[in-house]
Amino acid sequence: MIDDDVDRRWAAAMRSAQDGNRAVYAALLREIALALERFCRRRLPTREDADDTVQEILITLHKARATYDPALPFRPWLVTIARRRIADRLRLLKRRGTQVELDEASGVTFEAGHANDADSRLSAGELHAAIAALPPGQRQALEMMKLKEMSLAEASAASGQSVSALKVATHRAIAALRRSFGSAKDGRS
Amino acid sequence: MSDKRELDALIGDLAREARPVARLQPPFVRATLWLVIAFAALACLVGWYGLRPDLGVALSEPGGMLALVSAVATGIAATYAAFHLAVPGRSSRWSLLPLPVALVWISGLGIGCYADWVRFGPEGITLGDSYECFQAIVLSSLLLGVPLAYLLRHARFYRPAATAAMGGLALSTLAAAALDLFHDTDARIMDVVWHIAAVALVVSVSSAWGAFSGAPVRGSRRAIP
Repeated sequence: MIDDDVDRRWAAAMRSAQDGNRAVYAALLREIALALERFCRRRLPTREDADDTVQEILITLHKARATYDPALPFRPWLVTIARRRIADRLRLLKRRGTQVELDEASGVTFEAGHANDADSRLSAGELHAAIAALPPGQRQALEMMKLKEMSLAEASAASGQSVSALKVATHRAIAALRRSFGSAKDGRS
Repeated sequence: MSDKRELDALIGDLAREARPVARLQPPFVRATLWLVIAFAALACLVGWYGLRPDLGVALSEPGGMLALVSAVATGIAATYAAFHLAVPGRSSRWSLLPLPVALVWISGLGIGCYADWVRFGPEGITLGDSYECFQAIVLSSLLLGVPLAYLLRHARFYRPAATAAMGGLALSTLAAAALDLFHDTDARIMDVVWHIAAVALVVSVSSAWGAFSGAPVRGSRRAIP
């Protein structure tokens, strides 16, 4: 990942960062981020996963910066943190394997401009969480109408709800998801 | 492009947050400090209850001294392992350190049972009434676990389960050793069972707690402390 000269330079920079030198710290993080991008892209399936994981590694590094001992090499310290975050990401992807399909299946719901923009930024897990947070009636309507692609009549027969009630519930569910995606986007930008 | 901007913004936020931090002391120093605290606390506990009157006899029994010394050695080894595992960059092989002495400790407990069986036959393997041992080990571990969890808190981001398991092993074996000094824990079969059950429980709960508390950091600037 990095050679010995770079290791020594990063160790000195981290020592300086521990003493509160913000400019050196920012430069160090930028340099580390580049190396981490390559490191993560070799180990994770998509560029988005790699980019998210780089951020997670940097945040962990920041929280753990007091634990670095400048007398020791920097690389093993960084790699321990990086590997842990990569393993977490792989576990997350494995756990959400079926939900990735859910994300793709429901993509048609979010074709319009703003929603589509948010969709590209959100993970399948966030989409799943947003759907799970809907009231039961709205969630059921959304699942039947958009995910299972049932007709209004079929959904009405299956759920016992009237056609108009299903229309309203689906409309409200989509509006609620757009609101939550919008707020998630705002939180990230 | 948006990802690049997001990353730049994150780095900017982290750099602005970067106040000077006190570097952690080396793991050996911190482990030794905690051991001093733990031994002092356990000495107070033993002092409170008083040494068991038949301590000399108990230690002269087959496996008696071996079980006590190896329990203390397991606790010390597990402590040093936990403090090393809690720092990124240290080898994960530290988790193997206490295993040999832990095996000796369990062997010592087993030798006591075996010796009783040889001397007295099946009557030597009495069930005993050792639930108190279990309670004492678990409660002592909980009390000592608070300062230990604080000192090992940095591990939650990268090696939480293994660190917590080592911490749990340290707590429970030191508590078990202290218990041997003030409580009648001859090598009756149930003493051995409760001792091992208590240690297993503390290690399992610690490990599960470590895994749970080590939840991934989400890739968002909202996660910055």
